[in-house]
Amino acid sequence: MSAKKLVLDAMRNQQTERAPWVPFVGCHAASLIGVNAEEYFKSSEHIYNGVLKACEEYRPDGLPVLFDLQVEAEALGCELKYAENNPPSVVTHPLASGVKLEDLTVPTEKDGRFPVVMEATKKICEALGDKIALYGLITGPYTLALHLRGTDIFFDMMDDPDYLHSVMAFCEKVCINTAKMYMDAGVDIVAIVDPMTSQISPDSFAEFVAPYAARVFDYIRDAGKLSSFFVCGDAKKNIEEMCKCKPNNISIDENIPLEYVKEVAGKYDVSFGGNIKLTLSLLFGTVTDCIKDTKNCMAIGGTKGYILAPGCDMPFSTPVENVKAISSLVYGEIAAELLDEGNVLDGVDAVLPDYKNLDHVMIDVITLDSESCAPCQYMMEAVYKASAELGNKVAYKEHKVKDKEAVIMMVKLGVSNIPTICIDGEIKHVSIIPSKEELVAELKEAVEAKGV
Amino acid sequence: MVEVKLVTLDEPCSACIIITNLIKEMFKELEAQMPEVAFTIIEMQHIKELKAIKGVEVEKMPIILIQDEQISAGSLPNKRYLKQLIEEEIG
Repeated sequence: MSAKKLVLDAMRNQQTERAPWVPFVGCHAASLIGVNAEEYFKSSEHIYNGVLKACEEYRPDGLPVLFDLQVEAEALGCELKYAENNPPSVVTHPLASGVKLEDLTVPTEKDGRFPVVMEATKKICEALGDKIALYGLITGPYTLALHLRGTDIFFDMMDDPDYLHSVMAFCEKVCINTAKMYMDAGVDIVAIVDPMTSQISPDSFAEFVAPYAARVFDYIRDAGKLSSFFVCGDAKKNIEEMCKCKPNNISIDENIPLEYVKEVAGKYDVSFGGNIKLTLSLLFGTVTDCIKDTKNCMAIGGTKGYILAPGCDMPFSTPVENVKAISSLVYGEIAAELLDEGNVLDGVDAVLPDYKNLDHVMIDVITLDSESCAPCQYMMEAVYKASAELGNKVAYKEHKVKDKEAVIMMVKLGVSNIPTICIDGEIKHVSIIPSKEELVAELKEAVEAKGV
Repeated sequence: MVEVKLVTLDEPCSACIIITNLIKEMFKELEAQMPEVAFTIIEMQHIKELKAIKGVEVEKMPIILIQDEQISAGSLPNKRYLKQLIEEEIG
């Protein structure tokens, strides 16, 4: 099976002989060809050379032609600050500094850096398009709206939702036109990259993101191409909403448990990918760390609809040997079992209570240690106060992950962030501390449901 | 003097770059309104440097610390809430 077909089949959620390997080489490609990030992002020749070099070094089954979430914003008038070893940053937000929405026009192939990007894309597709799958990455509508509006967008959601809807509708048009440009240039897959949606709730996602993103995916599908929805950060709460937008694939970083994404995406016949740790493994880890992490992702992801990839674009200084080690593992050149070592948790166990048959509602709070960690302390205080209202109908226990048993509890409960509140074995509050009223209401509901 | 710190990596991912940049903008805005507050940005070359930063408990970047107490990890705080927390420290 060809490398390209491997990716396309996995994108369609089909069985493949192995998980296809798609290293998200963005500004890292600049380091491969010895230029800085600013030089790279401004030159079609550098982008072309960088992607070809990444293809030669890492033997991927697919690659993005570019990973820069500021191209559309720049073409719309946002000023950028370029860096030597990072993608550029948006430093001004036109819709927060006097520019009216009706004054903005959808960027074309002639605006901003689009001429550079599209020239590079066409050349890359000509050179590699019959060998590997090529991704065109577009800035998602919410992240683009945030670039245009700045942090006022969060207040718009409450204070002026109609205005935000009009901004989102404009961003949808930009997404569709950018997707069209990439598809015309020859890419196989268009990915909507919307990392800032990790900062909003599922309700806000459903109201302000889903309708717009779904129409972009419809457009890509109608054009006969495949699509992916990328998110970064702790977006576990929004995975289901992302799947409802009907992309072919979703791609996540290490903040979300891969097994959870596999389960949710499977319900919607959506393929999935990502999860290799960018910082701890790729940037700062050793070759062994990278292999172990990849091995774990491959074991969980399996070979039906899983695309092996990093959690986001790889940092500029990612050691080449770390990425090459992953390629070697993918091609079976490293016997993974040789890397198995003893686990520090071997012999340690913790038993989950039989929640259904307890004569009370059980709250498990996973913390670092409420005596030394402020967020953990506040979460425990919320639990103490809410529990006090329900007397002996509710019990609670703090599991400090400094203890090995607590780590086992954490794994068994499926918890990946600290602090977290679980009620009768179900994860209820991750990182965000609930109000006493909210928690009391949930506990009353649980007590009533259980009839205790 | 009240000290507010932003801790981030020198080479974060694309999402972290956007969040970090928005926090920097908030700091700049608040700095103009609160001359009695010292706003500091710490960009680490390596994640190991986190160990030396007082008050860091949840190792997820970007991190905001007010008077060496961590108030966020990997997320963009509400601007009004951040201002309120700093004002509480000013007293």
